[in-house]
Amino acid sequence: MGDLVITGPEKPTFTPDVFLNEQTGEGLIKGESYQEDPSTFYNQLVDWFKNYFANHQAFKLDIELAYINSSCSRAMVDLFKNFQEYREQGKQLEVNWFYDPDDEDLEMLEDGEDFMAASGFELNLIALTG
Amino acid sequence: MDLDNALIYYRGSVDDQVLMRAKTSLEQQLSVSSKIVRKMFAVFVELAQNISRHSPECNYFGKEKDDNGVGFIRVYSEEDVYYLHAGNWIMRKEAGELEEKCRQLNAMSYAELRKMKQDIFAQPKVAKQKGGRVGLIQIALRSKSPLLTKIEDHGYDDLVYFNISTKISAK
Repeated sequence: MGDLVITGPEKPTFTPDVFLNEQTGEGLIKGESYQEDPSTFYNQLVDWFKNYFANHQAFKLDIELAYINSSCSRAMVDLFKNFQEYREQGKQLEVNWFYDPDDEDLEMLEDGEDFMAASGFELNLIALTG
Repeated sequence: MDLDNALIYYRGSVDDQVLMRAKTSLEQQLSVSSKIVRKMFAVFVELAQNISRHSPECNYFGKEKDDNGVGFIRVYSEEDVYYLHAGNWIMRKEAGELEEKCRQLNAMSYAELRKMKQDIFAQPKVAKQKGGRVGLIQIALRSKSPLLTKIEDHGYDDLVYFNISTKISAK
């Protein structure tokens, strides 16, 4: 299946960079996500994880978003609902959700909390440092 | 409409490329904190994507129809307050419902708005549903200000012009 890498100068800034590594079982999603129709982008992630967990047991994903709109939030919650199903099947899936602690409104922390509540999937909520 | 103090005025169909340019424009024009710019952009995106999804007015390129709806968005400032105002045609029967929804959201606390957003996201997505159904909630959460609405009746049977606005304090 190989890695899933979405990055580079051709990639629009309204989608985040994605690095999902099959060999290491680790990945990163970083940037902003505000495309109006998120289905094409997020379906790539859903499909990649479906194929990955058909042959692997564990994955560790870091998510570091500066901003996500409501349409993409819905798509992210649906991704986390899938993740919860993998966990219930016995897969080891750890997701670190990073937020900016200097944002006095802690918007990305709140988004992480809201996504957990909506999906039932537990995230590690971690303040960015440095 | 006074455009003298407009930071952004855009009328047309709204797509992802328009949003990218709006973000760059806000970042270049505003000397306030990046937090305020991010809030303004978050509200701008939700207003714009509501227009794109729900405006029945659209452009044609020859016989080719552009699926993105047409409307306008104006961002302007007065002292330390930034205002975001959007407008588009809407079906008359939907306007009253939308106005009532805004009234309901304005009466809710921040915690109640978050709970409502969580509950909607927890429900399965309806097939062919456009958007995440939480755009107005997200505007209320990010702006922390009431959603003001105004319906203009121009005498058409099925259509009225729907205006929605909110504000963000730079302090």
